[in-house]
Amino acid sequence: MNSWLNPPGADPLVRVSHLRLDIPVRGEPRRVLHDVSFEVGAGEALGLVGESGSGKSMTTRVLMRLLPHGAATDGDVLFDGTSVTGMDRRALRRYRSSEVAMIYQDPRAAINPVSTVGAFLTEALREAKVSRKEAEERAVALLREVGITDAPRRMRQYPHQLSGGLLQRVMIASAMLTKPRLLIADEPTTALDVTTQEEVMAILDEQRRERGLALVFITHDLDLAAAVTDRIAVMYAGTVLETAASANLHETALHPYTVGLLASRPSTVDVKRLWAIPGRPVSAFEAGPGCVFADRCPFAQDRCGTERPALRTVDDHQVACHRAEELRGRITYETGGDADRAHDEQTEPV
Amino acid sequence: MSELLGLENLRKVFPVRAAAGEPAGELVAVDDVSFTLPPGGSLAVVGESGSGKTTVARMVAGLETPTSGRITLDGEPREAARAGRGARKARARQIQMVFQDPYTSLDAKQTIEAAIEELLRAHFDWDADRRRERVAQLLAQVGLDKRQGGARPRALSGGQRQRAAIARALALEPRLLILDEAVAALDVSVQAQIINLLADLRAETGVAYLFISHDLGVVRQISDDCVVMHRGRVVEAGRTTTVLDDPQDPYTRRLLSAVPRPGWVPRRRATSGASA
Repeated sequence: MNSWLNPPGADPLVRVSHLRLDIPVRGEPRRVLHDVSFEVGAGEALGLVGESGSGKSMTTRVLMRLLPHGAATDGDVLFDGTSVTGMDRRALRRYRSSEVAMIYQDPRAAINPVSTVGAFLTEALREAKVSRKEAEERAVALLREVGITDAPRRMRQYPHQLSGGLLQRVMIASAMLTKPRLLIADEPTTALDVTTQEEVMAILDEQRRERGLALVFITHDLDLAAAVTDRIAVMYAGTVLETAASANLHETALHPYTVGLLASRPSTVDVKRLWAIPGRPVSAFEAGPGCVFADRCPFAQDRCGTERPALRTVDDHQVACHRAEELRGRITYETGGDADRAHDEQTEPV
Repeated sequence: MSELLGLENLRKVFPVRAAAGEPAGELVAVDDVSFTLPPGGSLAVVGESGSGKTTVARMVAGLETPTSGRITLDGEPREAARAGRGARKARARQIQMVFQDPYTSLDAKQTIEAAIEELLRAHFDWDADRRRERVAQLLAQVGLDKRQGGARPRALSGGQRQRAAIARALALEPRLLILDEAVAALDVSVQAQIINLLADLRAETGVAYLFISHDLGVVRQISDDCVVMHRGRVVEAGRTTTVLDDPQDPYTRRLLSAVPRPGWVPRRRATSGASA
């Protein structure tokens, strides 16, 4: 095992190492995750960043053990030293109800449309034998904490009467109610307006810090992830390609994909022709035997197409690239007029 | 300055049905919006949901009728939305629209080539060879190969589908292309490709863009001028670089400050219980 997976001191709250996942598609197992390794310390925030099909959401499904029938995993997923994949039904129920909470992109799909906000919030507490009065008081107090001032009125309303931003705050309150140790937020603000996103992220960040919650934050937005997490893991085609401190990822990114992703994002402060990573994001099952990014990488060599690089320590990053040392600080993406049209997206197999 | 598109005091009011606890009323979606777009120019209408930006686009496209105000093309007033067949065809040759999700705007049962060819057949009296030639030219222009042209939308990736939608929209050589959140649903790396493609196509064909977007980064890349909308009204307008570098209106400032960027930290503004 790599040394970075065993830092000195206490065990991390979450340790995922060399996770592999196959899911049956029309009876055939299909690779969804190749090699996912990361750790989240107690109270630490980790961003899982990637484009569609990178496996970031599937990784959280493994963390919650919400997998389709016939899914096969390999590698370790440990929560506080206990294997999540090995939990029996009772342990799993306890883990899901009191250790982890999850916030999804679309709160409307995660809340019962025919029960009130109040009923939704107090349900779990009532189940845990908390009195109705106390459950309601706790729910109202939490709604106020997430910036909902007229909480008693909101408690009597139904989900359709609330805006997306307000409903997402209800979901944050709900996630805090059971006092979990880990919060998983899967693109929680992607469907929201940018000003609402700022509010919701600020509230999420504040609640998490106050309670010392660990966070796994899934997003496609590197800048957003950098603002609210301590470390970022960049995923592509079911593989973690790079892990680094969020604070200076822009300056220190080592993997050609990370650098490319940073260069493709249109800036609000400056106009230049964007450097576009050629091709389209591939899914894990389409990747060849070598580096999963090799066919889109402008720096790929023969070895990259045949030999899959493992995640290893370079500087204070973990990076899965054969040429990381050699390319360090030398990856510049020149904007070439016709060049980016020459190698455009390849067709997706059906 | 010559003018391709002109909007004068445009207003759109939708009737609102009575709902539980709320009486019937009116919703002013667009209120007194005016701007002009020169031939070959690129103007972005920026705003969040409910700002009225899409309603503006739909009125320009002729999909909604303004309650009051005027839309002119080359100085000529646009006909009412319920125009005759001939007028609608003429309008189609002037203005085309690309939507956010090409999956819902392309016919699932039709190949990309067939979709473009059908459009050419409806509008021009060309023989099959000439149509085929034009289809091939359009596909090459947007960066799709022969095989992708012969594919159905389902077999293409999101970026390829958006290229197909752009090729179809350009088929009639419109003077104005309305792009309604046309790159919003794409992955970042593919989005960059389409943004570059749009910049190239404007330079090559001289088509003008009316670009509807909520994304200020994309707006800066793609537009010369921009109009910031908030609750149906224009709060700020001008050269895109000026508006984004030196915003004057408080709402524009608020919008800009909410965009994640290196060093950005999300901040809580007012506690809002009011915005339901």
